[in-house]
Amino acid sequence: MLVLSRRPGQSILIGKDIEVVVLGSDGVQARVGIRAPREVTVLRRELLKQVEEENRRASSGAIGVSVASLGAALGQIGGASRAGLPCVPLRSWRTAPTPPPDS
Amino acid sequence: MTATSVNTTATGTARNETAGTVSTMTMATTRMFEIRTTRYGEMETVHVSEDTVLAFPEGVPGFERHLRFALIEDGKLAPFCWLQSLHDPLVGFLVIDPGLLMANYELDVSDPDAELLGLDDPSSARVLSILVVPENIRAMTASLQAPLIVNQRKRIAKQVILTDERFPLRHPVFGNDGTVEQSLGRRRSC
Amino acid sequence: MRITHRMISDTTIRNLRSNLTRLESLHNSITTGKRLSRPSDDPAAVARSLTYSADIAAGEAYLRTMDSATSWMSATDSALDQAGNVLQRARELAVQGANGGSMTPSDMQSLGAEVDQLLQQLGVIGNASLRGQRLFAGQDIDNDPFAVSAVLPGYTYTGDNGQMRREYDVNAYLIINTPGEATFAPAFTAQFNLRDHLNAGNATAVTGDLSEVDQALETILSARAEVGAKMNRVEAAQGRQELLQVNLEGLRSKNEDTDFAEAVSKFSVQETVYKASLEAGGKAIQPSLLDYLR
Repeated sequence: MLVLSRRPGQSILIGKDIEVVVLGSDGVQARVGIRAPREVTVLRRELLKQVEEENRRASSGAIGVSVASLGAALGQIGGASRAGLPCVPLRSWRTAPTPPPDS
Repeated sequence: MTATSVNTTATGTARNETAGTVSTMTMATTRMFEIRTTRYGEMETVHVSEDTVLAFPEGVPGFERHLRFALIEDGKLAPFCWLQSLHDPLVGFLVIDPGLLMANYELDVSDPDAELLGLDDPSSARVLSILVVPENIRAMTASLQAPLIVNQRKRIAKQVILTDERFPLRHPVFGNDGTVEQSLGRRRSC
Repeated sequence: MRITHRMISDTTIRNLRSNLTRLESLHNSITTGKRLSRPSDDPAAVARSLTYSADIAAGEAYLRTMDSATSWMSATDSALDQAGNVLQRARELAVQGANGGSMTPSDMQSLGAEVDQLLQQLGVIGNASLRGQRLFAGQDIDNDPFAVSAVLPGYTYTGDNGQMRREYDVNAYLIINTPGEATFAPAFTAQFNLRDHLNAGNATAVTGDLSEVDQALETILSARAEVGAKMNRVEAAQGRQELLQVNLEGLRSKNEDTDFAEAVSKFSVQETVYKASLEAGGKAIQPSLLDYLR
């Protein structure tokens, strides 16, 4: 990692198009301004980490008992009452062989 | 977990590098896939048509190597759908239309994202939210801050991260705990 | 580019709507095909709504016109019926008088006296009115059009023979009144002559009057037939318009209904999630997914 020291007001250039401006620091936090072209996505690092973590939670939890019971619970609900809900495609997919009918 | 690569052949025969993740068969009009999924907690095999398959060129954060998912919406879990990784039957997400969760849910699609998705018209995009389901189902949350944007026509999707304070990473699906308040205006903060 | 909340909710609603037929069987209060729009966001729908409203108002006006036309024609028909009865009686008397052989002059004059009564009656019938408006005065509805006269043709007519034209549908017109003079003139004249000839004891002339009375009757009857045909026309138009009103109302409410799918989705999702929660934890579920949805 390239380590630089900057005073408030000074900036760092990354590539030709990205500029990071150190705006100031109160000793605890540093305020940083970023100039970047629209096509560059700028994110706080931990935000991405948070989403990664959340996705992992979503996936693992999804495999676990909770969704199993959700699925089982929903599976017991009459198909008609759920038929009007979104995520039901306009055209139902065809299977082979015929899937078991909704209970 | 092993990431299995998917091998499909043009006609009938199944060929898999690892134990039977995906096999294909040709049907009269649409190609059908047999996939293994754990959406009910147990491994099962379902058939999905190929137009349920979505390409995630960047995977999703945390699962960057999972480039193909099938969006299963057979109504069994309605209003929820199931996004099943074709690489690993143990990787799947419960998703829902965020329009059910919140009014005024809206998002900007950045230029690079729009380009990745091949999206010309924002109204043709479909937005889905990943759900985290703890043991107590009532505590279920939706990742409103990180929606999946799907280009329906081109079957390309990506998870994007928003910076709108109105839309948290953990939006309680059932609760009314007032954590989400509509801000009067958007403040951009990265 | 921006994916707006409207785009997102449109998708939600679109998916819901595509499955409403299945929901309908379950929930009687839900009807299919309701269109959704938010008037504030959809000026085209607002414009359509205004058009529907205008059409509905026009339709109601037409229905009112048809109602009053029907009243008018019905009253006219009653009056003509009475005139017909008068003429029938006159005819009977004429038949008797034409048989003059066995009758004395004073017998004939009794008949003549009765015909005179009938003549007066005819005058009253000719001045019949509905709610103070004369049926046979043309457009001069506030004044009696007929007076019995002491000389031929046996009456004076002071109505204007005008036509009452009513629009009962777009560019569809109806003359709702019966021309007073043309309809009643033969009756007056026939009875005038009959009376005088009876009074004079002229049985031969009375025979001639008999056929005049018949013709007068014919005139009355064909006037009645015409009124009847018009009433049928109006009744049919009324039925059509009433049906149209119902459809227009339906279209208007379809166009304006903003809360329908939201209500549907509230209900459906709530029901599903409620049941799921019950199965899962047995606890009553709190506010639905749609708390924030407006």
